[in-house]
Amino acid sequence: MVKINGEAKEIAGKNLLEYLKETGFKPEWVVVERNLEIIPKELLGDVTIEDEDEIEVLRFVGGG
Amino acid sequence: MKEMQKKMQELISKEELDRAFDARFPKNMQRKLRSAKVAIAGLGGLFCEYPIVCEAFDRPDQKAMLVRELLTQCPKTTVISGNGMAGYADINEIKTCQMMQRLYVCGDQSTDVGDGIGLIAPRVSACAAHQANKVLQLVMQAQYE
Repeated sequence: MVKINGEAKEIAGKNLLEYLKETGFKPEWVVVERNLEIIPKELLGDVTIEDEDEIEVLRFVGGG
Repeated sequence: MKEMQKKMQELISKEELDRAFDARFPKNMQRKLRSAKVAIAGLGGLFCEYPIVCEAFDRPDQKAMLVRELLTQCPKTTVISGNGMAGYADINEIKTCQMMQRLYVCGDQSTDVGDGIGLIAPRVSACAAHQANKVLQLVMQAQYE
């Protein structure tokens, strides 16, 4: 089981970038941490989500 | 804006304005004002010497870039980001959350200026106050550790 923002999901084996796009995230607007490591934006497509991964996805919105 | 500045300068001199601005800060506070383009290359040189950095960019892609690179390039820096403060919805939605080990996010994390809602002072001020308070908390915790 994989945890995404604290929620358990059955998505082991999926490509991380594809998962983000499927779930409506724009890769340019997010910061992704996988098992306490920040994933560079250009490497999101190189990551295959593994069982027991803990992933935090922070989506930014406009305004500051 | 230029017209307003002209009118203000008729009423009060630039020197008096500068003095009034300086008076807002404690005398023992060090301030550096820098104007620089923040890009991925060289970002470490701009920020890594600081233990705490507050992010307040406007565009979501730039906010993500800055936060991502600060967390990657500056391993001793804690980041406090403002995210989601547009409009005039319930101000109680503005919160501070620790999202990652060295990242705190202040805001409602959803209200975007792109939804046709602009930035309006009360919520923006609340978000800024959250960021400032978190800075104070971290500084005081470090002082008494």
